Amino acid sequence: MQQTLRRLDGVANVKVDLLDGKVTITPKPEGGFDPASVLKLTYDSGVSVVEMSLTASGHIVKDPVSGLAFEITPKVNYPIVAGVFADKIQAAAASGATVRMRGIIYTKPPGKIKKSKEAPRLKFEVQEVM
Amino acid sequence: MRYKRTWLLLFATLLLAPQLHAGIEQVNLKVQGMT
Repeated sequence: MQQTLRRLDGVANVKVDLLDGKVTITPKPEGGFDPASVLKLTYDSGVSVVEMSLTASGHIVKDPVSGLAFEITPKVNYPIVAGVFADKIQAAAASGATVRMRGIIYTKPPGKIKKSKEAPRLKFEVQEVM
Repeated sequence: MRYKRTWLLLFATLLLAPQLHAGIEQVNLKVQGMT
């Protein structure tokens, strides 16, 4: 699995902890990495992802569906679930400044997953604004 | 001359402050079925 993930576009390093079932992916600084590709790859290899979280820097932009979105690159952006960080997120959106955050973008739904051709809609559930 | 030190401090702060670049730093996965 480590080798498979390392072959993905924009991946610099992959660290696997078999005992805890944790995988840490470090993308290349020049970009080109899309976390959604990890979900597809792991699903195809028979491993199921229970939770995916990431630390990233980007901008808060307006999203027609959810209100606000975390735009990390023009191709990688997620609707924001701000929770208790709503005030900080609104302030960052108003200032237009680059903001660094940690959040959960995928949690495995309860029960059996039906095989679907569509990728799950990812959302950025804010855990920390740094 | 009065504000020389203030300007120097401001300049040094801006110069040395870490620049925040947009991008993903790290992705963490919790997985099941890994052998």
